[in-house]
Amino acid sequence: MSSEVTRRVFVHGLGFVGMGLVLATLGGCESLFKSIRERPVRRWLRSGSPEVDAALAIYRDAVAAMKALPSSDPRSWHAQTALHGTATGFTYCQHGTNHFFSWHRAYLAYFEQICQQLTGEKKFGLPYWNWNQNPAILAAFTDSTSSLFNARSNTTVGTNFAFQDATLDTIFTDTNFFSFGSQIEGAPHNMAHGIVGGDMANYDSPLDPVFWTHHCMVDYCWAKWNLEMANDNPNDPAWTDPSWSHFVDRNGDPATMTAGLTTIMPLLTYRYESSAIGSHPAEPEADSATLATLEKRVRTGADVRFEIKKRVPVAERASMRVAKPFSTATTLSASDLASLVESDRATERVFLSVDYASLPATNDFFVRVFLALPNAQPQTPTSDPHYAGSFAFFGTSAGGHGGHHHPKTNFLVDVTETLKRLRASGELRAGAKISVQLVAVPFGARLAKPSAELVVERLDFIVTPVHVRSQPK
Amino acid sequence: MSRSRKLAFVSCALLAACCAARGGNPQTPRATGHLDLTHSLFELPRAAELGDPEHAKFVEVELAELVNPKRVPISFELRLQPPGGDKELLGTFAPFPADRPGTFIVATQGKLSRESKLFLSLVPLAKTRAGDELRVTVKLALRAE
Repeated sequence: MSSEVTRRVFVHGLGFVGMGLVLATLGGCESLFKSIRERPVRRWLRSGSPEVDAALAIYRDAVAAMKALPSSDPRSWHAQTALHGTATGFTYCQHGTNHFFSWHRAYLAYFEQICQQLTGEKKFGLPYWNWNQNPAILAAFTDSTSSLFNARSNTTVGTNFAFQDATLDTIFTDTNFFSFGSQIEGAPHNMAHGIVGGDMANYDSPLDPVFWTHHCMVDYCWAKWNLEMANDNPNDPAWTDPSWSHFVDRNGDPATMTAGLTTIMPLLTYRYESSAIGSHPAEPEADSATLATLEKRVRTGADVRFEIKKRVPVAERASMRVAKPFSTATTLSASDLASLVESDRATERVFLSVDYASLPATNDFFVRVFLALPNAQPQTPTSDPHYAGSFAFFGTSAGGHGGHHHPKTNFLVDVTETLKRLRASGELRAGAKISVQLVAVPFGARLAKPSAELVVERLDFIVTPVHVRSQPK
Repeated sequence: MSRSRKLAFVSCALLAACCAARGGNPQTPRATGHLDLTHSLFELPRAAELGDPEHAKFVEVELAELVNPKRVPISFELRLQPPGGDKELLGTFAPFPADRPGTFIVATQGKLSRESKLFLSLVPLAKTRAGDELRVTVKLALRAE
């Protein structure tokens, strides 16, 4: 059985979601759209701007206030840092994952709220360090008497290639959210951490006040690419649904944010003072007509469609023991994929989408995915033609990195090449059913908890391409 | 301005983070090299060893093993050299923190040919001292998406 799926995902009802977000983050507004229109401005850090100087003064006060709070206060400097990492490792932050942008956007937004609350400056916007336009850290951060001071190895990224126009122009031409984000993370983001040095080079890098302005620039890169350059974010629930509950709001109360909601934050909760990145110039400030368009988007939802040619359910709420390979036959038949697997030139791809109901009790193993190999075992080599890919868990249900704050987890495995191999070998014939195997393989000699249960919430085959159409911006 | 775009959902597969690191795709040729402070350059004589360079969108570099106990800030520079041409810097990346392995991508910008040479160099971002322990095992592959 296959189902044709055409869904409006990215907040059909952007207004509904947006309303909730704004009410949550602005504390409930008498005039919602007035609040959106007047949302805090995140300014481009530079010398000679009275607005920037004012923002820096507030930031300085906010950092001083946070540093003065006892570490038991979740809004304190050390508690906020500890959300990201400690001296020995990362805590909740997302690095090297598909949520690098989204997690840090949420992290910044709540940090900004705390700054607003502690200073009484409700319109404070966190300024951003545009290392492309201004390689040197502003003097406000190098004054040893300031709360913004921190010991650093360097106070400029200099002429490092990662921050040059040529590098950033190449990265910004990438229209794929995931590879765009990966390049921003690996090049300017990681490089700045290493070059600045000191705390910035470590897991607890938020100890340096420059961290927040650096990540604000990373966030601006995403916002510019998405909103100013009209590239689209992913809409699949596998990406939009994960939520994080380890943040705290302006009052120090627990707060939850989902990845999907972070995509509309620059439209609703703050906005960026535009600046150039590489050869992409600063955009003029939005005029009233543009604001009206944004308001309309908020009210009626963006016309973004996420088309999947096929989404074929394989299993739902299936339980497996970690030590026992999981196998399930699907009603998907080879003929459903005929147009794909019968042509080496096909541009479509097939993914296996694996949604787990919760993280495992331990993460001392990874999972290999096989197709049409019911007797697959941990010893089955990855050179086996039925092998499709593997994934591992980031955190456990028992706590630690992600811990119970990540109740669900999702993976996508590209099975296209495996299907093609099986077709070429004659194993995948028209009318034949396709089975799926998930095999846990211990990283070490054996599994710590072989009897632990893993519940597969959903197992689907997804056939792309994905077309995303945005309404006029 | 209204724009239609294809969102290459394909790359989501890479979000299964350990695919390459823990098992790899048997269809993806990889080149493995070892770098340290005295041997800081890895050379791949022919990009074709990695598959189909002319249709590759990215060179993927996995820092499979990274020994850097002092967390000396480091970066990597990827260069290409077309047949008979000069070396050209394709891109850079860095691990964060400096002792954390990971997988990185550098856009080919359509510049790779089968006979292109690839050079990956380890570039410390701070002064190193004699005796600093710094070893990296790198694995290069090509990505079409």
